[in-house]
Amino acid sequence: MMMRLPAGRAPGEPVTDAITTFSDVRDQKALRDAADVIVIGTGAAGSVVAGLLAERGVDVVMVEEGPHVRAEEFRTDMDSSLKRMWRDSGFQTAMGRAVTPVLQGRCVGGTTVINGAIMHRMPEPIHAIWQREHGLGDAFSYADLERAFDQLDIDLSVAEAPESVLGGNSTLLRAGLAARGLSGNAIARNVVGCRGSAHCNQGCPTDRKQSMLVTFVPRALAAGARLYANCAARDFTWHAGRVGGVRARFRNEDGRPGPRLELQARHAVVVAASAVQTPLLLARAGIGRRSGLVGHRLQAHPGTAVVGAFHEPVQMRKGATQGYESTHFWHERMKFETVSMPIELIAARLPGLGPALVEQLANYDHLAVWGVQVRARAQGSVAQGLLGGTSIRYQLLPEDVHVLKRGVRVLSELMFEAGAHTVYPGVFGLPDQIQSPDALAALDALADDPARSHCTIAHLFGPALRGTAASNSVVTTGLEAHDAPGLFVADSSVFPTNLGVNPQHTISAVAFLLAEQLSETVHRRRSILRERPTSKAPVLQLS
Amino acid sequence: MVRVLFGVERRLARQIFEAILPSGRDGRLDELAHHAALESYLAELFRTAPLRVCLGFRLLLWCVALSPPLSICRFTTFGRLSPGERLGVLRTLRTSRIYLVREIPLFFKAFACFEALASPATQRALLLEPHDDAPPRWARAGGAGD
Repeated sequence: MMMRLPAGRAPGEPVTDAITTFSDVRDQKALRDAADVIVIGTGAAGSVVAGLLAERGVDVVMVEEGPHVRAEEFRTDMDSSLKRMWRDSGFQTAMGRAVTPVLQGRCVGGTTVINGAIMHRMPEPIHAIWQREHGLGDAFSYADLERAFDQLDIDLSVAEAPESVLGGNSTLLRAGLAARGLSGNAIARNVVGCRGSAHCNQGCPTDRKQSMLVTFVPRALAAGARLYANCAARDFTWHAGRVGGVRARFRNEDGRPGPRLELQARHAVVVAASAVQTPLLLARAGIGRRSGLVGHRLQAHPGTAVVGAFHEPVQMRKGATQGYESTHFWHERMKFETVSMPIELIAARLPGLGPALVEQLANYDHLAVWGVQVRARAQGSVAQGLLGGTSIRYQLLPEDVHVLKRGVRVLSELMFEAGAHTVYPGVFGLPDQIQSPDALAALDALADDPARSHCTIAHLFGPALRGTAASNSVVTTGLEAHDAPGLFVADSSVFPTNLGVNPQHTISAVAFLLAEQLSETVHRRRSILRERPTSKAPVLQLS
Repeated sequence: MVRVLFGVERRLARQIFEAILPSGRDGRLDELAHHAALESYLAELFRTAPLRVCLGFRLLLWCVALSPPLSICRFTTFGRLSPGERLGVLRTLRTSRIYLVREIPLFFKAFACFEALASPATQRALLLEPHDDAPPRWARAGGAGD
């Protein structure tokens, strides 16, 4: 499809003049703009919706709370990355029996900028559960999703990590799995010409990762869309019984408030602000109140890491951040994957304090880190918290902890199979370090207590449920809010369950299908309203 | 005031960080142990972190400061202990049966590692080739804390 390029711009040329940030407008009091469709969020969902709509001749404005950070500004130390591009500087947590970090990006491109670039198609059994148990029927059929996956594979250059960038961490997991006769595979990733710098989580410094920052956001801008960064959506405006716009406010990277932005949506508003921010936005506007489900039924993939020390060098800092995985135990609700960590992260995970810790640091190049992620049954909630923050409540069920413990045990055994001389299981009640798989038997005697392990959560689902009726869901099967016509939700908030695999691909595929439907709707409404496609509306100063 | 640590709190933070990451026995990590950029690191942390993290950091500093009577049965404060005794306090907290207590040393350990190990010089001392030649913003002259 031919892209519509703004006049005077060569293909491939950056479209930075279509991006408005805090520093561009700091001296103004209020601004306004109008477009056919306003998209809130520029992550795996929002940028796909914006890009596809813009390329189909729809006038689109994107609003992103986080900053626009280019690859040349990325730093490879974790602390700088956390402060600039992660939500709450990496301090977002879920509270329960344990305090669990919830990892999300907060920048143009969203979490796709700082994730491990893992692309998994939604498992068919999960789709069947959505159809059968959640009444979704044929809306977004699996055949439709497959079509979206196929196109996104091309758009995002999805391919298995080549042997040349697997690195020691991944090849050791492969060896361990093979020794036990378990299946595994190189991870399918959205990367072109990976250099194996193991910096996916800090932002790919060479733009090899095909995050939304370098794919769908530039595509949307090249097709005429506009982007407001450092600008958080606060509320919706209404017109003739429909959601007719968005109120937002600029903030600089230190949180200092800037001008207000009022956006008029001629046809639709798409919320794709993540499974944490989307329900907060809906709840503030009173949308979905009748269901009582906004912010509830939050599901996740909690995970934990096992560290192993090997005699030969592993060199986690060389190779793909996440290069190899095993879904062998998917039906037992767990998935294994390699996770190469920078020294400042792994140091915090290693046991010991003082001289013992310092000695471990000198051994960094001999460490491997593998993670287990659990398709947990626990359900939590998200709500506005005190002090301007977010309150996420989430506690693993004992049956989830049981699966997690089994994952730790299997991963530890695989470490020994692969040649580890010491394994650090990271479970309170076990020795800090073990030299034999026999020591893992003690795991069985430990209570299924979530406070015994250190989990993190990177994938969230469900707090703005998709369904058939306003009484049992927040949005329709077509993703439009039951009680707010013109407002669509496109991120994983609408997923009825978690997936058991990394969700970026599925989130983008659902957004892809929504964009197709929305494009038709906009063109139909235009013809009904006898509209002509609008030109770009300039930013106007209100006062 | 919430976003600025008092001098006594900064000294306490330094004592905790030095107990968690002291100099290595082989001398390679002396720079790491000096926590040279700690002041500016804390200043930037308190400038950028959510308010609840700043409050939590401060609260937990004082928990450690006043913990010796309960952790090692010594009626004194953390700052008056020898370096070895400080490490003993943190180790005792780490093995507590109470989840929130045993997480306190890990909370500070994470910050200590971020502060000390982000420096290219430290990474070179560990024989790791750093990708960034320049240290983080807060560790440079004229950075956040200067």
